[in-house]
Amino acid sequence: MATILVVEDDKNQRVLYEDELKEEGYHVILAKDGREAVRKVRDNKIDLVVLDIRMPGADGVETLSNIIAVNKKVPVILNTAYTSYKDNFMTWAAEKYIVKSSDLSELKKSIKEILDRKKPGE
Amino acid sequence: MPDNHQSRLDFLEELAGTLRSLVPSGLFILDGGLRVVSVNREYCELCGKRAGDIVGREIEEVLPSSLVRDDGIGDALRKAASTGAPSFIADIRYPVPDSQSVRTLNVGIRVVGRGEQRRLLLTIDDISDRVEKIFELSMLRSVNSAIAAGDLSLNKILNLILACVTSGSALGFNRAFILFVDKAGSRLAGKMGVGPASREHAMRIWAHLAGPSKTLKDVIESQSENPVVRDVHLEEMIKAMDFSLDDDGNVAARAIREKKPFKVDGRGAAAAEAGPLTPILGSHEYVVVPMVVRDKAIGAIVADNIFSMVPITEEHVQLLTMFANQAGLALEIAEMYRNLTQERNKLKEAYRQIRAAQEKLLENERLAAVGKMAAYVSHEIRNPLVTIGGFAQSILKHPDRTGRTRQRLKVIVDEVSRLEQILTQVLVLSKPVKPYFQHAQINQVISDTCTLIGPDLQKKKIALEKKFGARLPKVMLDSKQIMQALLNLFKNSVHAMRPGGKLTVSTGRDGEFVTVTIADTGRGISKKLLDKLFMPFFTTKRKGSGIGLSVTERIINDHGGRIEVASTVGKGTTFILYLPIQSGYNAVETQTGAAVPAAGI
Repeated sequence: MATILVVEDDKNQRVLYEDELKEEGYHVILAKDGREAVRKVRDNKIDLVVLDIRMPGADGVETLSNIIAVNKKVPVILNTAYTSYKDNFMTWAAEKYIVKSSDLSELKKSIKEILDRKKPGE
Repeated sequence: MPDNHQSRLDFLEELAGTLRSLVPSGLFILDGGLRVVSVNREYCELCGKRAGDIVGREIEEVLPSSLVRDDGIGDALRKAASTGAPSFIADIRYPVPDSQSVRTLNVGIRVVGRGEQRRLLLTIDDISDRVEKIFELSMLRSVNSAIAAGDLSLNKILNLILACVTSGSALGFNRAFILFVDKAGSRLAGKMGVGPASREHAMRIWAHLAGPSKTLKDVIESQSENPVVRDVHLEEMIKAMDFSLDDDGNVAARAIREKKPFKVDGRGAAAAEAGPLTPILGSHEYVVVPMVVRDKAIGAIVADNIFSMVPITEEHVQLLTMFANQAGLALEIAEMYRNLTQERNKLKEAYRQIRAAQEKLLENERLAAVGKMAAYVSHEIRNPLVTIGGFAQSILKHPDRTGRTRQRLKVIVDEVSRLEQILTQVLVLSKPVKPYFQHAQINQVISDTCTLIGPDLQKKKIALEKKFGARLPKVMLDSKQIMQALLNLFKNSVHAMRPGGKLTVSTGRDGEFVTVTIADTGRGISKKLLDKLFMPFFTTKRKGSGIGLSVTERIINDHGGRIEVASTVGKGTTFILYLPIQSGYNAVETQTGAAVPAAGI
């Protein structure tokens, strides 16, 4: 069972993602900010990170580079309400950039694709 | 007494002068048949005849016929001889034959005795000098009064100066030119000139002048009716007058450098040595007079009598010199006035540019605010929407799981109310609601707000201390808006404090203001962040919108008040609100007139 870390500052959305991804059959770990996210990447075997990019106090882009510093192999999906971050070259380090939507099918599809691609290489 | 003695001497002096001026140029005693019985010596000397040649002849043969006939002296004499009535003819304009000068004469006739013994006393008084003096005075006065009247257009003053130099009996030059020293002080160039274009033109003008005596006022008025003939010849001469001030062989340059008048006189070498002015003017006798203002020659007046050939006397040069300095002063004042106007226009333009730049800046700020607003809306609206939509879909997928459905519906309801709050705040910020002012007791408004924040305080175990000032005056305020403003501040404070913190709210009076002080024991705000504190969409909070404090500031400003904030990192933050006691209604006006960048969103 693949383990997914969801980094999300919004409490209700953490509940939503946890519910939905568990239903897809993943093991879900939650982090509410960048610091917690980096710690959990270090301490757990994470297969994929879903990261909200705008988190006041700890910028998502900064968190992204911190995660990569700890584990440069872990794929990261940027899941954000903003489109403007697409222009930030740091976000190119992410595997995928998704604009948040109430329809989670794009997110789920991306997670599946990335994990499928990863498997043969392991 | 010496004073008395002096004033007596002065009086006698004055009397003697008056008597002298009363002695006429010509004095005749005529018999009843208008034959000359006696004539004074002065007249004989004036016309170069002996008394013996005059006595015994009829007066009509003695005097110039134009005077006797045209000016009515003959008629007056005959009438006096027959009726015995005296008469007086004033201001006769008499063109002296073979000269271009026009004299002004007063003629008086008195009758003595009767019948055969009747004698007529004829006095002919040349008052030209007095007329000249009066004209001179009026010339200087007119230039002065032009300055005093603030009639400072450069062209008007130039015209006035030229009119003074060429018209009337005082100077009466045929032609006159004004030249100016350039800004660098290296060249002297022609600016304006006046004069008849030809001898025929000159004759016409003199014929006109020989008519009734004219005052300077007449001259200037007739000139403004018929502006100076600007013939091509004159224009070319003015253009040709462009001299280097270093040229020692040019009287014009020397007049400027040495600040003294030069008279060029005579034909041949003398005129040729005077430099380039001689060929330009085409005359051999002319005068160059500098216009000296505060010891600096700003230009020169050049004048000649090319048509009348009347010699330029030392007196003319002196008078012109005096006049030129007066004219220079008038020109300098006109120039200063023009510079002042220019400076003022420059300032106006600079101010306009600053205003434009400022407006541009405001516009940019407004656009930046729009950008922030878009980002804010995109994030803050999208997040609850994701949550609401996500849970709604989840419920749709599994309508049977009642326990979880209830839990999810609660989340949806929470998120919707969060959306509503966001919209309300954005609305307040972007389109401020006009305050509805009423007399209110500030302590009561604060108490009501404290009730609202109560649950938050209990949850975080924060103590509230109220220190309300006694007998505070009522304030004109919109209590709903003030509650909103206070609530935002309270929430900030609560958020900044750890459990067990203390919130102190006190009220008081400071001059014309009622003050509300809100002090917390929170983590404090760094100096760097203090500057951005009231900026819309600026937040350090995880769930903050960055709108609260800017809304609070807006509300307090709309009330004509202000907010002050002081903070120590680690110790806490204090906000002080100042609300004016008097200006509730005024504040309505300031509010409608206020242009806050974000207001345009």
